[in-house]
Amino acid sequence: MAQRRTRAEFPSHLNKLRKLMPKLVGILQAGHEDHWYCFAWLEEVKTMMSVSAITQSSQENLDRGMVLRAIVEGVNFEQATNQLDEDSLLKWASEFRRQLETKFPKDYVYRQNAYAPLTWKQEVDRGLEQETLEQLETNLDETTQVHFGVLCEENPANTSIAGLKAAATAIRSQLLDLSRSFVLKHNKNAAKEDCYLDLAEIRVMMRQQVKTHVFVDSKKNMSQTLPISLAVASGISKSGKSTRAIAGGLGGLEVTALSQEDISEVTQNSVRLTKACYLEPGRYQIITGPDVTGVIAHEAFGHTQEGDTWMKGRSIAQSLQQEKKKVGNHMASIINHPNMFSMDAESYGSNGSYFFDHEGELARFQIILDKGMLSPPMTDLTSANALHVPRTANGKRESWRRPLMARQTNTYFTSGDKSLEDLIKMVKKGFLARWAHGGMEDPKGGSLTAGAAYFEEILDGKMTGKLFLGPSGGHIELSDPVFSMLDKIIAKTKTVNQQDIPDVKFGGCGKYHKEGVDAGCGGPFILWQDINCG
Amino acid sequence: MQHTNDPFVIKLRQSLNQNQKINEHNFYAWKISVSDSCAMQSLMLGDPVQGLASYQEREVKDRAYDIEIYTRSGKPMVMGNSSYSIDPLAPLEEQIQKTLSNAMQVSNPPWDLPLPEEAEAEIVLTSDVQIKSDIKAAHAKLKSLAASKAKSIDQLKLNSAELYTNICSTYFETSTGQHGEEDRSDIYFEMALEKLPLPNTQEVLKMKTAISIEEANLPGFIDEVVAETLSIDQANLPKTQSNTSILLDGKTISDLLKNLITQLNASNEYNKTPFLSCGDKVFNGEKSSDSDKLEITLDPTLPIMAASSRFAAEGMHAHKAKVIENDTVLHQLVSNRIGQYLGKECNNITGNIVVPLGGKSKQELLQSVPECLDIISFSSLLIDPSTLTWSSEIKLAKLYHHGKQECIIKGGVVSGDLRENFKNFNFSNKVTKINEVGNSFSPAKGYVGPDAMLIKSGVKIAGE
Repeated sequence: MAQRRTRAEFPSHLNKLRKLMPKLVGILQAGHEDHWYCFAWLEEVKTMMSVSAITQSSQENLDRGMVLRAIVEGVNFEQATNQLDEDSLLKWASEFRRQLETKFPKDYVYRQNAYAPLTWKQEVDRGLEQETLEQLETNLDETTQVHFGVLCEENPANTSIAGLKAAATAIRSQLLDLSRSFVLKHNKNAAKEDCYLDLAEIRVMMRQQVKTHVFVDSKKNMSQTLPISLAVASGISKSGKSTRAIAGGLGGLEVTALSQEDISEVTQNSVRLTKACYLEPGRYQIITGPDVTGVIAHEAFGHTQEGDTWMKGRSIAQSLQQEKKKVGNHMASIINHPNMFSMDAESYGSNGSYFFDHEGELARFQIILDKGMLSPPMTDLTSANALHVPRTANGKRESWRRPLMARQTNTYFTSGDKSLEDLIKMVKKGFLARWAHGGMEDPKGGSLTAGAAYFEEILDGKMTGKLFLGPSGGHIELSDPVFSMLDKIIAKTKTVNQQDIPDVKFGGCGKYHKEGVDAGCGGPFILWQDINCG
Repeated sequence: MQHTNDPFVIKLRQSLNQNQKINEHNFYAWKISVSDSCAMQSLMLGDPVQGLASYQEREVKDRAYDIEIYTRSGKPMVMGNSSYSIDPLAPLEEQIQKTLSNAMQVSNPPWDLPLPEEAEAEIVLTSDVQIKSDIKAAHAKLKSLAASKAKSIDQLKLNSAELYTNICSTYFETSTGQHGEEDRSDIYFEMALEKLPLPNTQEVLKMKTAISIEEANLPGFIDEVVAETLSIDQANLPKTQSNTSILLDGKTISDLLKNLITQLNASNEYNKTPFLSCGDKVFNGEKSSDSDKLEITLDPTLPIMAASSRFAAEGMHAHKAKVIENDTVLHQLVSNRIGQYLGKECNNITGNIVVPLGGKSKQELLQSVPECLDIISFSSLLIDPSTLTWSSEIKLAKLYHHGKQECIIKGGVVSGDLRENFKNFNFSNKVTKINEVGNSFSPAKGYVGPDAMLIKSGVKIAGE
């Protein structure tokens, strides 16, 4: 029976710092309210990790830092530090103000008024979803400390390295046993040349991060605590062929249970890949699983729909949206869902979910591609202002050390009405691409590449049981122009989720090649007419 | 202030020593690490008047203290270690106890931690003097150099640019008496350009990473990106081919070699992942007679390079050595701990990848084959360090026939296997230097070697 779930609480050791934050905003902004918009951002990330492998390891980290932001004349000026004693912070805020007043002296003639943030009442009137609303008290004002917590079965406060180690060791031992049994069973009836070797190694990593954010401006003082739990198991053969399974998301350690499919992936498929065929480069009918589907969503009209990319003139989507051009068929719908707290059969969200973004914008569901028609982009405050489009909760930063950009949260294709079996029956000659292996966008060129760890062959509507690696024996890239690809969606699988949210995978994004953030991506199994694979 | 006299380091040292004394039966050793850094960050848009106009200006100050505790316990004896980032606002004693307890959860075979070496490690210059002395002024200088060059760009639209200037001082000391300190500077600059008139669907996004202002040479870099952007024309898909020739740039060469070198790590042997031993060839099958032979030296002593350091892992002195010669592995990279595990002598070989030049110019290399794809940029080159296979979509390439450019190529997927590629390749005769500082995605990489590599075997393309 499922345990009762409780919300992650605000860590009491941050109370003192939180109390100081309105004062810091005041020091920075007082007297300049007409032309400067200022906020303070505090983040704390507590990480605990244990690795069970031939070489064991453990690690516990705490990273905490604060950012002060002033937007003046459309430019974001930020100072960030992890020297968080009261004296240092007060001096720091005063010095920052002094620097800004040097840049914008008393006689400076401003061209832009300050951004006016919404009050709690205005936010509620604009519409918030139940998960957010039920955590709001009545009669909120700018001094009310509002806290949002994620529902957890296992309280993250009780997580320890010892507990993580015990879990990782038990999983590894189970996986090693299962893999050895698989090899033994296979080899009993196999010809000598078809025999498998035992895996060289199975490595299991258990990790929990508890992220707490505090945002304070002249209208709000709010916080969120986001526990992100993760189990990663990888199997590697003596020849280096490897597989990886990931279980995790927003919640306590209860979200880290590996599925049967995950277990088979590590214990059997990493062995089977040592005898895999190599793919002939070319075009094939492909079914992508949620993992690969998600990468396509993220790379296709995920990055292309990031507001800062529009603002820089670096996205093809801006003109296509303005010209109302269709960029995919009626099944091509993609969602930006920052406040996603359940998915498919699971009662938790992915690691890309939160209640508000890193500029204090409350999270709301957004359609970014609706049956082939583009919507306005996902934005941070700067790009929303520059483009005169609605603000969305997509302002994110890797950490307090890094700049804020418009980033994805959870990006997924909407679900359809078929079963996976239905899709397989529709394939004459093609492949199932279940496991992702990276991907990259080209927002200006409108092409994308999504990697698959390997393919499973489908012939005449049936899985043949054969695995295929890339033409050179590595992973396989699926690459095509985005528009032609999105026009080739044949069918999609359905979901059991009441809000029609498909499976969204634990993931991350580097925005080209740096600035790593949590970003979930997913969707249903999708059958594509054909994709160029190599 | 020297880190060794930092009051917080003194406090940490005292507390760790006390704890070690109290728990002498299992508290084997400790390490303190300090990093103190400052970063200036500018995110900019192209601007016809200013060249570049900022929309985000940041200054970041970051000081961090970490400890690592090593334990020995049980019969047979096992050794544990665990690291912890210290919260200066929380009780220290509690954090040390927690780290000790975490280390006790780890059970690895015991190894002896290194003692201080007799001679001091040779000093290596790893930071730019200007950045170290005044990072704000250095950043402003770089920004001004980039902006004034950007103002002169015509026939192109400069969409955006990012500039990051960093300086970081690191310090470590151990209970066994080791200690060391280093400063590191780095610069990251990227710019995105497209050809006028608009609209078009091809953009060039290029990055420059460097350790010093001089090496960054932002005006020179901008000239290169401008020339490349101007050379772009209407693009075609490549043809599907099961074996083709490609020409790679210095950055890609360094990425491929970096992954090859991971298989020289003796830790791979211990952890049972694929590895190369002394005497192993880097290629599979038969070597082509007109191929160059691979030679790599790792050198931690080169000044102003990303992988230069006085120290190898575990705080011992870093050493230079030729690790591959005539396509054959001469040395594995053996650290103190793994050396003890495998019964091999520790050599602490590490550093920048240095590769001798080949005999032909880039143009001669292009002329030496009937058809060649000169890869300008990959979309996302992924190299598997275990299988040494690689694959990527082609973001932009030029197709040459007998050295003459035929067309621009975009799209399609190119893949290869390094062990096949090394059967038949040639390096160019022009040197390039690549410095990439480490980040959350990848460790630091320094490369001095040929600016082009022609690969004539083991490359496949999925296109039209």
